[in-house]
Amino acid sequence: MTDRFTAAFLLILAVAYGLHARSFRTNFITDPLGPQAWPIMLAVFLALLASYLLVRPRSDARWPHRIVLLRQLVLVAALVGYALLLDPIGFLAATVLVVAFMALLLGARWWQAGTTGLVSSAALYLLFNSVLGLPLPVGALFGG
Amino acid sequence: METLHLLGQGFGVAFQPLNLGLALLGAFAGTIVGALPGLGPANGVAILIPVSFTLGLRPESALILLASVYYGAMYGGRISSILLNIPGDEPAVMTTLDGYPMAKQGRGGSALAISAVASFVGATLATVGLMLFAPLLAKLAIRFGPAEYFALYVMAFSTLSSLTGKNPVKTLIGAVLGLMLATVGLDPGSSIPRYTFGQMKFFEGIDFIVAIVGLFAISEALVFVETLHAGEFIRYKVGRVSARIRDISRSFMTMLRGSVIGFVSGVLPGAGASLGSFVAYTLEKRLVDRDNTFGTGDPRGVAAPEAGNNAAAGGALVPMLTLGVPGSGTTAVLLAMLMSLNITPGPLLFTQHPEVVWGLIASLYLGNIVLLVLNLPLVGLFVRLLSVPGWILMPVVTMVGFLGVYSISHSVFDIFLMIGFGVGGYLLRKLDIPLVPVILGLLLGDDMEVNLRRALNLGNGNWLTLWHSGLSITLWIIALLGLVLPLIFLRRPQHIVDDDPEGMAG
Repeated sequence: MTDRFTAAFLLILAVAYGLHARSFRTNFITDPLGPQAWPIMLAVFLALLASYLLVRPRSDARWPHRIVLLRQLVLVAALVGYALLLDPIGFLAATVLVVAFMALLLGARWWQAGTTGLVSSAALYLLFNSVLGLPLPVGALFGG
Repeated sequence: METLHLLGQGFGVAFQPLNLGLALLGAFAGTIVGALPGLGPANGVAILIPVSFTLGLRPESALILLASVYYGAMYGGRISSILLNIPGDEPAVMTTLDGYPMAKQGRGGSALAISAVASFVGATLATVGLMLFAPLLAKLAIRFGPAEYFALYVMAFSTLSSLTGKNPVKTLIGAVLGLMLATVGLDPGSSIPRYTFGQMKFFEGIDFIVAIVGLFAISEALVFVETLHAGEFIRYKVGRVSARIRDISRSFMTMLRGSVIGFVSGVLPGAGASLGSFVAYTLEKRLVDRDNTFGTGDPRGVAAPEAGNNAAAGGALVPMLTLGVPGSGTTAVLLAMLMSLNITPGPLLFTQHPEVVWGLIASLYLGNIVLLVLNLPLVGLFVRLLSVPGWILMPVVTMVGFLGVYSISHSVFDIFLMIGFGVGGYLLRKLDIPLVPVILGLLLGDDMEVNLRRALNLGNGNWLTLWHSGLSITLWIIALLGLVLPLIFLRRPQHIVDDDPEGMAG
């Protein structure tokens, strides 16, 4: 089932990608192929492969349990949140939070998670800021 | 003589204090990365690329650092295979077959020692091979025109699909997806934007480093969440890490044969280390296993795949340096780094940047000696890493990748793109679409299109120009065989290639 669904998605992607290629126009001729030909070749090739997969699907992917899936979504959300928080609250605070959060997500106790967050945040700050000489954001909150 | 002269210059580069330090550091860090369960060489090198950038290293120094990490990870990979039965990546799978039984019988220390010697023999012979054959191939490659390069790229994808992955169709789908990603940005011929959706950020194309760290490190974190069972860590005792001379001398021929097989399969594009270790093991089993002891803890069953996969790691550097076509996932990551440093691998690399090539070769000789030392007397240090709990390991590894990307771009857009690649990479892995061809496609896409267009331009639009020379015809025939042979030999040994759920062999 999963393979069929993937194949259908790839087929739609190939058509959309190929059709979009037709909009690449230049006013002057640079070479015999121009900007359209290569993407259209790729689209045709992908369409062929996807059609084959549609007719002869192979394996069925084992998707994770709902709880695991939820955890993965939370992990992605945490990483997005980290990227957004990095500038406002600074590297140190944001890293303590995200590392502790990830550790909790992986089954650490709260004090283990807290220690991991504090230690790794400090260690990474030392490594990147002091040893490698990369300025990491101090955070607007702390006047950075 | 010329080789010796150039090698001498290479040692001059390798013995510069900075480069010597980087080789030591890389070997050490690489062994750690390899020893950590579930982290393979491709992953380790991908995470460390941004770090090497931010150090502001010269190209030869950056390559020395990352190639040492690569070799180190190949050595370290055997530790978790032997002691935990958890291979860090696909090539290490074969080492579990006899290594884990040995560990269960209390001969773990002996297995570690023999595999360290085998890794040393394999990696050193491969470095000799690299030194002798790469310049020859580079001389041949000077004669490559656009048509030959286009055929070569097609050949790389076709052999990749036939030699790795259990499903050639899905490998090809991965390759096409990568090639499509490579078309994002300004068209190399006419400079009009393609697939940029009006985003200025996309005009220069998708940053290789952002894509690779996302595909490997972030998707690995998602897999980690899925597979981790909380609280699984035990203390491991290995006993004395030493092997009886008899065991080593008995497996010496095995190591030599494994090295040659590994090197050859490493040179083939796409085949890489997994094929090397697999063929080395099966051949030894046929040749020397008279009492059916393979699979029950035979030292030769540890020596063969370790010599094979370490030799393949060196072999895979040959096409990457001479042709710009990587032979494995990790060399693809190394290629991405060189391209980001504005060094284009290929025949000209040997004449224009001899310090890069020969400095690398000399460093690999030195690195191997360092690795042998690290992996014999000091192996206990790395064994302790096996008991680092996942809830420390995963967040820290993810953060290093994250900060690396942030530190080269300082752009939140790139971070989001990286997370997007991570989620995409996870989905591809779930769908059994391997990641290595995606990365190869992304890396080679531009050159593939440019060479095709250049060839047709030279041939005034006549497609027959792609078959004009004996060299290009040969490449097309190999490409065709790569696609057709798997259809004939469908009863390939499935069990080894099936064990690559991450699709990041070698």
